Amino acid sequence: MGQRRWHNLSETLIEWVIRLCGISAIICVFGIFFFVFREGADLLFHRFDIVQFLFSQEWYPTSQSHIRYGVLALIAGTASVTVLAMLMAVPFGLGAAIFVSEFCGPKMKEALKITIELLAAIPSVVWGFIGLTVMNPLIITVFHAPIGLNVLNGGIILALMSVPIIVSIAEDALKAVPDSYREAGLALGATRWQLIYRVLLPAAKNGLLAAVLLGVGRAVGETMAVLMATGHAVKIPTSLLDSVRTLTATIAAELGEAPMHSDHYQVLFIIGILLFSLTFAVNLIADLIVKGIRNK
Amino acid sequence: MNPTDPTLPAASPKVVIDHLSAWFGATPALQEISLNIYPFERLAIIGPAGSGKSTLLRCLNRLNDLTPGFRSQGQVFLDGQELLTSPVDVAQLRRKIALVNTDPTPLPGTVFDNIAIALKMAGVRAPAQIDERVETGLRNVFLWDEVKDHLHDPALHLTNEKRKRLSVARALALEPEILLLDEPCANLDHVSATRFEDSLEELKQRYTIVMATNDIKQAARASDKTAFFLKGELVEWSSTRKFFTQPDQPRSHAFITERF
Repeated sequence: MGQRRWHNLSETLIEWVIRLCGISAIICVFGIFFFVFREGADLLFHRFDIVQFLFSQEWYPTSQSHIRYGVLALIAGTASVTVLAMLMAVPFGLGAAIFVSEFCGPKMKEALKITIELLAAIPSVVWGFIGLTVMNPLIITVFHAPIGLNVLNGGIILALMSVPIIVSIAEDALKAVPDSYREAGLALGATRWQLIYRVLLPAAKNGLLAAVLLGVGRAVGETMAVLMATGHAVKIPTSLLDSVRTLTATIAAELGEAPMHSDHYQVLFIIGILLFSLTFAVNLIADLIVKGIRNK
Repeated sequence: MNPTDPTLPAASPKVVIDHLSAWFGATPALQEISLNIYPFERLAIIGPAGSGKSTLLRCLNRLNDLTPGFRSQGQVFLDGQELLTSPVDVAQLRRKIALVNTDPTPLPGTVFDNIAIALKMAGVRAPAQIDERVETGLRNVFLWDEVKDHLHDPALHLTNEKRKRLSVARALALEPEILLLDEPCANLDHVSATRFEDSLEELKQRYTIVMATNDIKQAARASDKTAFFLKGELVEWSSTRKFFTQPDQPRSHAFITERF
């Protein structure tokens, strides 16, 4: 009898622990949003000029006479390195995933997967270090640029960081395509490339899109590597060799110096809200696209 | 092995299978099969599960090449050209000898896409021609009237029976010379199965059809010739009428009577 009661109790307990684990993700997300929002709320609701914030290029948070909190250049910085990184990482990542999933033998596949996972495990500060000490002189020599810490450097570093994520998620997506699709395609006289292009890519498109968007998320959210590799100059870039500063790098670089609860401190949190909204928008769009594809 | 029925035609065969043996790893799947397939005939390959019916079909368009551990010995000729050992364009071969699998697999995309993909892979580009051949393909299997208003719905929304006919339509859209059907009426109710057999009768005018089936009644109704397989061995091969009325081999007789 006692054993049975104990059994029931442990059953209920386990159920609650699991339930708590499930809910904790939602609580964490809301908690983070609440915290970030609370820190910036005072400025946001009382003295904040949102038009200037979004559309001005002037970022002078510590100026004595001319304080300006315009993040347009920072948005442009984040956008430029992200777009450049994705232009390189998406074709490379998807190509690599197709190779790993469809073309290489089992031994090669194992070796490649281990290497790719290793690449994903490199800490971002190490990537920043590579940007600073390897890419920087390389870009100066090759392009005769005055400085090698710029959009190109940041884009390449971010691409290298996003590729492993894109490869592993995309490879999973391709692997999840049932073999019956491959066979049906081949039975219709598909060549290897036709099979990939006409059958496998359409069948795996949800997963591939998720892979790309996770890559975008990685690139938008990355801080340390871009802080070290992009030159940290507040300006809208007009060429790949211009130095830029990203939203994330600004928060990382300035939060430690801004006095608690000052306007500067709060505006950094508002940048946090902006980043949060950006990634939320990316995820939402992805979700809608995926749902759209599914219903089609 | 020679056909045991003197009424078999003397016309030159479309496919000659000559002492074909096959293995999956160490397990033999086919043993010394010799069999001819003549133009525009419907050949039924019957036998219990595991008798090598599907393996034989998949040898003909070399789909077994994809299975790890598969190897074969012997020869298969299509219009005099050897298929297994000599270098052939496998993609082209599979368009000539089209296989429809037991489990119908709609490809990703719409009903229309399913056939259009096959056409595009075969190099058909003109949209008007694709439209026309999609319609013909669907009409061939009596599917057109049922799906013409849903051509752009996902093929995965179709019922199992319609999926089956769609995969046949997809194979036929490529205008193959030989159509291989693996268990064509598995999971079909008898009304759909009868309709399907009727369409085979009509398709016979244009294609050579080889179907592997568990359903011996279907073989009796819808084929011109029957080959009976048992454990990878060809037991008997003759005209369907003769096979079902006066089989030469006691094993054939046992198989028919047990099942009827």
